[in-house]
Formats: sequence, C-alpha cells, structure tokens
Amino acid sequence: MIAWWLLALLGCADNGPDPDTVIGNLRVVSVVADPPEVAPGDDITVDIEVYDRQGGSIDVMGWFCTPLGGSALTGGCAEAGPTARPLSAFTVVATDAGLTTRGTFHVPEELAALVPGDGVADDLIRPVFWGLACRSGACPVIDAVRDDPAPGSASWSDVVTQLGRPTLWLPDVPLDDSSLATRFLMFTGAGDPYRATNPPLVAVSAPTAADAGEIVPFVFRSGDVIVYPFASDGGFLLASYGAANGLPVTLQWQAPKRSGPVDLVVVVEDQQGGSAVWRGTVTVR
Amino acid sequence: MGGGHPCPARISLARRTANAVVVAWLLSWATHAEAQDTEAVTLPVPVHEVAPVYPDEALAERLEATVGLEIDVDEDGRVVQAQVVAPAGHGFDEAALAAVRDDRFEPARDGLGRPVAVRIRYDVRFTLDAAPVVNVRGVLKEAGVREVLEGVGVRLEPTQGVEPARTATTDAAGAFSWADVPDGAYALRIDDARFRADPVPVEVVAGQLTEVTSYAVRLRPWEEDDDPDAFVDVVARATPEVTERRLAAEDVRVLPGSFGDVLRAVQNLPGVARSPFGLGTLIIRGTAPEDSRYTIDGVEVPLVFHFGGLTTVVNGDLLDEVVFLPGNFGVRYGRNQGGRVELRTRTDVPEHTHGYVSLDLFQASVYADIRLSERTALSVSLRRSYIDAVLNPVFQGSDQPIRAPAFWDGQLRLVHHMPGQGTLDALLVVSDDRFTVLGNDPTNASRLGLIQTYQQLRVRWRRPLQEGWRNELSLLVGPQSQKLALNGGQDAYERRVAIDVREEVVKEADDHGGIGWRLGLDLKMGPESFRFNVADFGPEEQGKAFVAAPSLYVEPTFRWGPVTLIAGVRSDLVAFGDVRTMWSIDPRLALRVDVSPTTTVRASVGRYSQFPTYRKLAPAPEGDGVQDLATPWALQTAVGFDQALPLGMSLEVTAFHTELFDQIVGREQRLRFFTVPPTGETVDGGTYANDGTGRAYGLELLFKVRQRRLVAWFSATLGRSERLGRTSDEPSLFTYDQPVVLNALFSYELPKRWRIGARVRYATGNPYTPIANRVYDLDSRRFAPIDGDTTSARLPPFWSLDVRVDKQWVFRKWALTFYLDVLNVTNTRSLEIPTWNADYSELEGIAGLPILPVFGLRGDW
Repeated sequence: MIAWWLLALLGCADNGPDPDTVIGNLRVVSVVADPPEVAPGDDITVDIEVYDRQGGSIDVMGWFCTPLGGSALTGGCAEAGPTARPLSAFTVVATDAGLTTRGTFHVPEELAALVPGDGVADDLIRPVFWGLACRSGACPVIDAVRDDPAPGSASWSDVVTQLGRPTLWLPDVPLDDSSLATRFLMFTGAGDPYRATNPPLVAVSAPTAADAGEIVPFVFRSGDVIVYPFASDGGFLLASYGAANGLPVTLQWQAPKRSGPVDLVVVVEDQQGGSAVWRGTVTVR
Repeated sequence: MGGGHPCPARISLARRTANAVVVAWLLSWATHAEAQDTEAVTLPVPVHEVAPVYPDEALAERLEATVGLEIDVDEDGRVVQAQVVAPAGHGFDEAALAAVRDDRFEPARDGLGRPVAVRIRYDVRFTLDAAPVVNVRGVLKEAGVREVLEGVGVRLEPTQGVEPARTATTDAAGAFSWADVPDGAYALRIDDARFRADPVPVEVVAGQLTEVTSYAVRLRPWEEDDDPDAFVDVVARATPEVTERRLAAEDVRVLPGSFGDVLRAVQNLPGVARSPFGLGTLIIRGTAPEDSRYTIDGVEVPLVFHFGGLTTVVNGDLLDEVVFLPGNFGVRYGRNQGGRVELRTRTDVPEHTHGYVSLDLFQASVYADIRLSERTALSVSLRRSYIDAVLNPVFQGSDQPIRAPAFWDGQLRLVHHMPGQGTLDALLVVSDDRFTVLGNDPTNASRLGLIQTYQQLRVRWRRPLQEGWRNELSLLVGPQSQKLALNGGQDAYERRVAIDVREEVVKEADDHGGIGWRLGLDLKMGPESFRFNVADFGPEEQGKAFVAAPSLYVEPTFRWGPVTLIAGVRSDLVAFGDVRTMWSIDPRLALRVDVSPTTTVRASVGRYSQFPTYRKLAPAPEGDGVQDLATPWALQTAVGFDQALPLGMSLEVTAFHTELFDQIVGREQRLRFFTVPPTGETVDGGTYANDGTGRAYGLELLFKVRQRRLVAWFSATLGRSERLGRTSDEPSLFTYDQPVVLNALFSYELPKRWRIGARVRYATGNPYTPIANRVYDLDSRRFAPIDGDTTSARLPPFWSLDVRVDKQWVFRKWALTFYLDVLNVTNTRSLEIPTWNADYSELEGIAGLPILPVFGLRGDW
C-alpha cells in the first residue's frame, strides 16, 4: 500500500538465484488441460503435474468444481449437476501417484446456460479445476472421494461441499504434506470456431551436467508465454522469463555448490489457460 | 585641657598619606608650672599613620573634599578624642575619623622638652590624585557557556618576588579588580571548589590598565566534594496524577538507545510495549498507538515523531521535562482511552544568549536561546533531516524509485515574565514530513507519496490570582494535514484547522488539609475535511464539516492529612457539523495515601471516552447514511505504591486493568495512513460498527536510581491485551500483546566529562496470525495464504544490548560534545514483522535493526 522506507532499503536484492525458483517440498507445479478452452459437451483431458523433492508415497486428486455465486457457493460445484452426478464424473484420484496424474472429463451440457453472452453469465465463475497432492493419509478429503458415496447421499453432499470450498478443510491439512493448486479454464460456446490450444515447449538446449556453482544456460522455444522455471537445488536467476512468438528464450540456472542430481521443471503459461511442462535432470559434478 | 591658649596661626604642615593630605596646627596645650614660653611648644609628630579609606561613593562620583577635625593627643602620643568640626559629607567625615583614631604620635613637648597633651586642628584633605588606582581588572565566565560567574573567589599571585597575593570575589557582573598592583608578572587563579581553571598569566605594566577575561570550567556536582556517590534526594510528587512518570530532559538526553532524543526515552518506562524497529511508536498499556495522545504544554499535537520514528518533532532543548501518563490521568485530559505523553517546555530566561549546532547520522539542528531582557527570552530551533541526501548517491543508478523520509521542523518560542502578572509565552511549531524518491525517477514518483505537515501557534498566559488561585489560558491555532498521492490521480487526505482554547483555574489544597479545586474549559474546534480516492481503499469517499468539541471539567481535591482524594468529572461534547452530535461524561476517582514521608499508596478508577473520527461518522459510500456509532470508552483501574529508598533509589509498583467497550471495528485498517510498517494483521473490511471489545491488564514495576553521577532504572511490564471483534467468537491477542517487557539501563558520568551507558531490553515477540496452508493459483503463479487462528502464533522474543558513550570538551567560549550510540551491539537478529517465502512453507520475517552505530556532534556556544 504505502511504501515504507526501511522496507524499501532492506529490500535490496543480491545477485544470486531467485529463491522462488527453488522447490523445497511437495508442489503441484501445473495443471495442463487439453484443450485449455472448452465448451459444454466437450471431453477434456487434464494432467496434474506434481513435483516432490522428498519422494515417497503421495496421493493426487483433481476435480472440476465451478462454484456458483451467492448462496449457491455453499451448495458445492456446478459440475455436480442439477441432479446429483457420481463423483467420478468430475474427479480423479490416484493413489501412490507418479509425477503426472491424468483425468478425463465430460463438460456438462447444462453449463451452456452459464456461457458468457447467453444472458446468465453473472453467476458464472469460470470453470475451475483443482489439483491436490498429499502425502498418503494426510488429506481426508481424498479418502472421502475415494469412498465414492452414492450420489445425492448426505456423504456425497458433504464431499461436494468440501470440493467447492477447500478453505474449509485445508487449514487442517499439514502445509508441508500437501499442495493445492487451482486453474481457471477458458469457457466458450459450442459454436465458437476458435479454440485455444496449449503452447508448444521445446528444449533447444538443455545441458545434463554442470560444475558446482556454474551458471548454465537453458534455451527453449514456445509461443507467447511466460516461462516459470523451478529447480530442486541451485536456482534460476530469475523467477520468470518472457517469451514471444517462438523465439528462443534463455534461462540461467546456477548449479548448487554440492554435487549430485538436480531436478528441473520448466512451465510455460500463455495466460489463456494454456500450459506446458518440461522436466529434466542435471548432474552437478 | 584646662589652662590652654588658642593657637594664633597655622604652625605646621604635617604629612601626606596615601590618599589624603593632612594639615594640622596647634589649638591649645596643657602647661607645666615651670614652663615659661608657649612658643616653645612643639607639635606632636606622627609615628604611625593609618591611611584614610577614600569613600566608595565619593570615589565613584569623583569628589574631593577636606574634613576639619579637632583631635586631642595625650602625653603618650595617643589620640584620646577626635571630632569633626568642618564636615564634608559623602563618607569623608567617617573615613577621616576612622583613620585618625588609630594614629600614634610622638607627643608634643613644651619649652623644657616635656611631653604635654595638646589639642590640634587636624584637616584631612581627600584628593583624587592620591586615590588608589585600579590597574588590574577582569571578568570571570563559565567556560563553554560564557555565563558570568558571581561570588567566585579569584586570586592574583606574583610569579616572582615576595609581593603578597591579592584576593577578590566576583560581583554580579562577574567582575573583579585590584588597585595599585605593582609592576610585574602575575598569575590569576580561581579560589572556588566548584570550578577549575588553568592559571591565567597577567602582566602589569606601570601606568597601564591590565584587563583579563578568565574562563572557569564548572565541575560536575560529584566532583565538588570527596563523596562521589553522594545522592540527590527523592523529590515528592505534587501533581494530582496517580500514575505519572517524569523524566528530566537533561537526563534522558544521554540515555543509551535514545540518539539524544528525549521522547524515545519514554519507551524504556513500564507500561510501554516495545515498538518494532526501534521506532517511536508508543504502545501504552495494551492499547493501540492511535488510542494515545501527545501534547505540548497540554495542547494536542497531531504528530510527535517524524517519519521513521527516530526524532521528536520538538527540539528537546526547548523542553523542561517529559511527563508520561500511562493511564488513569485526571480530568484535565480527555478524549482518549490510552495513555498520554506531555512535553513541557521551558519558560526560563537564560542568563545570556547561547545556542548550538548539532549533526548526527540523520539530521542537522541549529538552536539559539536569546536573552532579550531579564524578563524576556526568544528561542529558535531549526532541524532538517538528510537521510535522503546521504542515501541518494547509493541509489543513483537504481531504476526503481526508492523512498526515504525527509523532514524538517522549526520552533520559535517567546517567553515574557510580567511581575505580578505571571508569564506569557508563545510557541510556534512547524513540521513537515514527506517521503522523497532516491535515485532515478523515471515514473516521476517524486510527486507521489505521503506528506504530513502542520503548523501551530500556541499562546499561553499563566498568572497568579487572588487567594491562592492561579490561572492558565492557552490558545492554539494552526492547520494540519496528511496527504497521500498516487499514480492515476488517486489521492487521499485528511485536513484540519485547529482552533483550541484551554482555560483553567486551579487552587491547590493545603498541605495539611482542605479542599483544592481545578476547573477548566477545553475547547477544540475547526473545519475538518477528508477525501479517499484510492482504489485499494475501496469506493471513493469524502466529507467536510466544522467540528466543535467543548469540554468542561471540575476536579475537587480533598486532603485530610496524609490522605488525598481526587474526585473529578469531565463532560465532553462533540458536534460533527450537522452530521452528528455526541457527548460523554467521564467520572474519575483517585486516592493517594502518604503512609510515610517515603511511602505512598495510590488507587484510581475512571472512565475514558474516545470519540470516533469524523471520517468514521460520515455517510458510508455504500449509502447507509450516517453511521450509527456510539462512543468507544475504557474503564481504567490502577492500584500501586511508591517507595523512596536510601541512596537515591525509588521503587514504584502499579497493577492496572483496562476494559475496552464499544470499540469500533471495520475498514479502518485500509484507510489508515501508515507511517510505520503495517503489521499484517487480519483486516475487518466491513462497515464500521461498535462490535469490538477488549481488555488489558498487567503489572508495572519501576526501580530507579538517581545519583549525582548515575541515572539508572529497571522497568518491567507483565501483562496481557486481548481483543474481540465481530469475526470471531473468541477473544484473540492484541497485535502488540507483549506479556513480558523488561528494560534495564544506566548512564554513568566519568571524570573529564566522559559518560557511558548501556541498555538491555527483552520483550516477548508480538503475536501474529500464522499461515495454515495456501492455494497455488496457477494462472497468476501466486500462492494465496489461508490464515490460521487469529494471533495464535508469536514471533521469537526480542532482546538487545545497546551502549552509548558521550564525551564533552569544554573550551573557553564553546563546548563540543560527541556521542556514539550503538544499537544491538551483539547484532542479534530479531523478527519484527512476519513474512513468508513464496509458497508460505517457511516463516522468514523482516528482521529488526542489525548492529547500528549512530554518532553525533554538538557544539554549544
């Protein structure tokens, strides 16, 4: 709000790697929907991209839950339907999951009434996809979904409410053992001839070895995107890079002082809901 | 002398003394039977003459005269009788008589050579050319301050020869002189245990007047005698306040950690929580900083610390003392539910004009105390910070605008004492604070930022009335404003033109019993306006009204021997234009029992109302009309005792409890002008409402030692402060709740004007609301935190060691003082504000000040 001089003075940054590029624990690094722009009645594939520095057994869950405005918010998700749908229609659960968890969904036709331009858009908050990664047993909501209560039952309603309002239960989940991410998708009418697509992400130069402390360039090509690089150690010099129109963009990664493998994750976002993920490993000598 | 004969003629010219010519002749004589010839009688011959003293009055008026005497000299040559027969006045007669009575003569003799008693005419002529000639004179002044010294012994010693030393005592003008000092070399020395001075060489030359000015260094009180630990007496308090902590300006200026600023010393007293970053915010008895008030001579000032909190807006040399009232103050003060700090200015007239120039890490000051007459003085002070100027080169290459505080202030004080009519004094205070932009300014950000200014002219007349009553009338006028300017035409401001009047009459109760009275009118009024047109603050809102707030108070004091009961009531009214009128009645009761000359027990309870600001009452932008707010108030209770101890020690213990009612909650946090770091507390952004309550309670302890060389104290505050808003059913800890606050400090004066001091502080960390978890917004790539329970976590405890060294060099005409104040000597890292890393997985926090040496120079003339 109001600049304060000491904060400003103390805020002088050094020239080392940006600490925001280092992932120290469990994190959902991206949700990649394909296509990233959907219409009612479409089928959609969603990948939940997870990074876990610690390793070990994790559970991953993803779900569509577009909360409606006003009091409807407490009723849960628009995807749950005017008549109760099975949870599996809008959720995906993976036990002891890998780095990528994929779910396929069908966008309910009745959401067409909420499409902007059809006169009832005020109540619509763009379709939201949630991605949750938890160490096994840390998130009771995953167990509740896995139990797959009967649609319309009290348990089902309770689960849907929880999916619609994660802030109700998230404070009770250990922060270090969980990561919840949210992605807003582009929503369009069925007759829209143009649909956005996910941007490409090509590694032009991706070294696999580096000396300790060395600053290593990584070169990528993509579309008009913002590039967010992450590393399990060392760190990229900037937290984000801009890229345009397929021109190469160079990311500077500084290797840590200690030797060993370092995992890298590069995510691009086109600000239209489109995303892509690149993963790699560098051995520090 | 029977049988004598008149003398027919002058018969002898007798002698010349140091300052008078004597002419004598024989008037009559006693005869022996065998004497035959009176012509044979001889005059008595002086053998011991006492020089007459030339009368001061006559000498001053340059008068000459002749005194005619008749004296009888007996056969032994003694003067047995003398009388004035031809008086001259102006002290000549007495001087002549006094001298002649001690004269001794070789007696007169008859023709046979026998001694005879005679009466002779004896004229003493006083002539100026024979008066003592002052040929050495001088003035003695105090070194460093050049003040003339009266009543100080001085001594003129020859450096060679056997001439005896001459002594004198300086007069009211500091002057001394000697007459008829023979030629030669001398040394002027000081004969006074209170002062020290090197001998001043004096060369006396025949026929010339030698003038000398000497400077003596006043010894510190403890240097005067052999008991360096002699202590000063504890002075009993004479004010009605039950809990009042006074700090003499001259003492607190040298305390460690204060940077020489008098008001920062208040932070070391019990009842005050530690403020973050060592800033000047005062958090008193678990109340919010905005619940406390600052006054200069009883009149409120909008800003007492400059931006950054390092410096008080009023020069400390204008102040006589700082009075800290943590709560339970009398009805003289009102309109707030926290504590009060009063700055009391000096009203003395200096012995001579003096001043100083000082420089430190943050600012430069110029001060002058001008003696216009023995009853009138004028003081001028100017200060300007230069943090921005110092840092500007550092950030010259930065493309990001970095803001630094820049301030200046000035004071003009005129004091005039009117015999029988009291004292009239006027104080003009101007203050200007703003943030300036360092380095490059590509966005033209220099026109943006926070600006706070005010100008106040206060005139006060204090005078005695009849029958023990006294009166104090104060009038204050002046504008004040704070303004925030942002890009895109966004701005916010609050403005007020203060017109304050205070009229008070007081009669103290007799020391042994009776009733005393304090009656007063406290009127605040003036136009107020505000405007908030900042997107982050919510919808635009503005208002303008003439606000008038008259108050009446009466406070009888009943005294029965050692028991004093003070029962006051204060009635406040405030009219916010045609928007709203509110009122309150605050009764307050205080009891003090002087159990013994060294022990006092006290208790107090009272109501303290604090009206909402006009902005809170103005129609809400949502269109709810005038907001229906009641007056927040506090019920303050305190009980404690004071104990004077030997060796200049004292102990004060106070238990307090403050219950807060009808507290206003709502969007205040968003609208507040932050001049200190925002705490990051949870914001209730809803419409204003009296839905808040609170409570603070605790125990305060103050142990002080005040000796000639030593100022030291230990203070402890143990307490708890809670709030209950409308967002929770359970009370939560107040943002600045600090259950334990400890301060131990001392300042000790060493020989040769060195002074050392140290301060150790410990305070429980402030509570904060922890982050329970977070949601990663993949579209913005930002984490949104989810709060845990309000203020359910605490920052680590704070502790630090600060040291200070002062040294003063006293030269003839000026003095130079150097100080080095080192904060956090151990470079202990303490978290002041909780912050987290990007994904909220780690508490990082903004640390407090690292080791920070602050030095300053001050030259007094």
